[in-house]
Amino acid sequence: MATAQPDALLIPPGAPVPTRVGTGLRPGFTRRLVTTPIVLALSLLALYLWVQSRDLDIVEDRTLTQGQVLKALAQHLQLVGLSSLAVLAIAVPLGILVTRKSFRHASPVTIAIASVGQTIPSFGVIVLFALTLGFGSRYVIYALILSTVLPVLSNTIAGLQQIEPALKEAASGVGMTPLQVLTRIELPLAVPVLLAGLRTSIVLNVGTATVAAFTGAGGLGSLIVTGLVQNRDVITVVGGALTAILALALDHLTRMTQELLTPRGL
Amino acid sequence: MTETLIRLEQLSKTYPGHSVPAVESLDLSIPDGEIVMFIGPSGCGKTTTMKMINRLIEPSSGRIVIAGEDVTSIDPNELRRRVGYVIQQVGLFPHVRVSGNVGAVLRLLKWPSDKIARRVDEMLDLVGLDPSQYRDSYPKQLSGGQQQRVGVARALAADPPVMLMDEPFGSVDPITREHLQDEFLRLQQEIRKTIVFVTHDITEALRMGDRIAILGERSRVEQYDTPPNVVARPSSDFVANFIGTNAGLRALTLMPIDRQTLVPPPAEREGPRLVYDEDRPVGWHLSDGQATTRIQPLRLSAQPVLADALNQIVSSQAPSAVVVDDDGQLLGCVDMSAVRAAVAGAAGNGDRSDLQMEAASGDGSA
Repeated sequence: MATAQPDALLIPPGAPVPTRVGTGLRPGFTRRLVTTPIVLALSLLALYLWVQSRDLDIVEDRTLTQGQVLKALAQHLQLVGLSSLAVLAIAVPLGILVTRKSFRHASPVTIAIASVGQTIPSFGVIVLFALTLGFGSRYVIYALILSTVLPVLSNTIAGLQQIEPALKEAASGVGMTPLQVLTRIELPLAVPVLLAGLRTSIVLNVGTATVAAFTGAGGLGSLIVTGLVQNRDVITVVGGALTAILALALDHLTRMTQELLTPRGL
Repeated sequence: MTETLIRLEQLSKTYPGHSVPAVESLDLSIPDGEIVMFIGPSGCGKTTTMKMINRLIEPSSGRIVIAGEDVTSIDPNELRRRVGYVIQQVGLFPHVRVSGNVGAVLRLLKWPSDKIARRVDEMLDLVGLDPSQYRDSYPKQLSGGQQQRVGVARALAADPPVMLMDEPFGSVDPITREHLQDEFLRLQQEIRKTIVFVTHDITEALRMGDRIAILGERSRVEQYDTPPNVVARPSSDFVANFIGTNAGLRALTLMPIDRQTLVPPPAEREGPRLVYDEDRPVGWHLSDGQATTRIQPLRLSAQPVLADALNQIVSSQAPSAVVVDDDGQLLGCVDMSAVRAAVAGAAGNGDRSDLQMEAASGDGSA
């Protein structure tokens, strides 16, 4: 069957010729990609020059060595990285699970439980975990997971639920198995919303992880705490500024990932 | 009549938590290569019935037999790859190019990619979209009508014998809809699929259907017949109401003129008389002292319908319409009494035996 049908009637004259958007990167991607890093690098430079211009006393000098600062940064990144990975590993499958037909009634309950994690002040959770479970970065990471799982979970659920039922039905209708519908249709379409949740979660995480210093888990929070306890403003400012820059940098990174992973055609 | 391709046997569906079935003990035979329209009031179960055929909705009881094979218990995904499916919302995958959408079923069937590419182009051609222009587009870049064409191409790609269409032209504007309907009928001449077509638009049903199933509550078949028979012989008040008040006029567009309809031209002594040119009727001499009113006689081979006859009568002001053969020789006339009888029959109060219809007698009318 299906010989070509030379029928000019079918395309009305003057029908818009589709522009070929959607191929390659979105316009302005490169500009957006480099702007934030440049601004952040300039901020770092300013911070460095500012510290250099100060007369540092012995405490400040000893705390603000390159090794100390980098170590705090690395610890911080580790706390944030591990807990965010764990959040992804927990929240995405859970979000997928509770949006399946047979579990649909479970999604409000899940959201409610996750909300509790975010509602309890994260400072409290971290201290509580330290007191009951023990000190160390491991328990801080548990606490961070609990405090930052909600945005990813709720956005995974929202991202999957926003997909038109008719679209999923069409996918089933062409003969896709439920797993194929999930991996070929639902997840790609949920990615933008899901990653928006991850961004929120990571930014939240960077801030919350400063509290880890109180339980001896290190991180940039330890600079802030040292500065406050020893009454050395320079150290506090360096800790705070680095935390902010880290948050902005990670936010930028996830935003660009989000843009890259967002399917064309949306 | 043609062979049955799809047979629904005692098909029932009761949704969980409902005491009343949505579809109850439905028996229906759908002939090979025909378009069967399911029409009925909202909530009558017509869509449920259609979705049971590809088991997007699993029947509570009963059997579905397609081409002799009981498909009620086979793998539903396998079944759906063999049944084309077009829906009102089109349901194109927004993140997939037109080519990927059209080739969706083929990839599931694990065709080699070069074969898929060729098939996709062929399908786009078939539905009137230039492959080189549209295959790499995303659905968002197409108009509503173009999207629905892609939807049809996707459903046809694997060459399934059966297509299910759920109000496929419901969401486009009326002009585009008519255009798509015409195109689709032309396409169907070529592809001869067995199509179950759900609509709520009686005009669409009469226009597109080889057969119409008018469904009442719980998908009870109120009447299952050809469009002319449904219009001319509604089996119940329910059907008559459903067809609506201007059924008479609809009937005229559905009823073909054939030789039995024809009567001789009026006697020539007085009143209007036919004017011939070399034995071929060309116009009417309506009354003394008036010039000849020229007409375009209807050619019987062009399969005119009563509406064409009425049109000629009204525009020429003559008492009847003139029908000729391919040579232009007079075959006979259609006068107002035939038109009147058709309208009256459709309205349900005429003497139906007057009607001359070529419509095949329907089976299974309730």
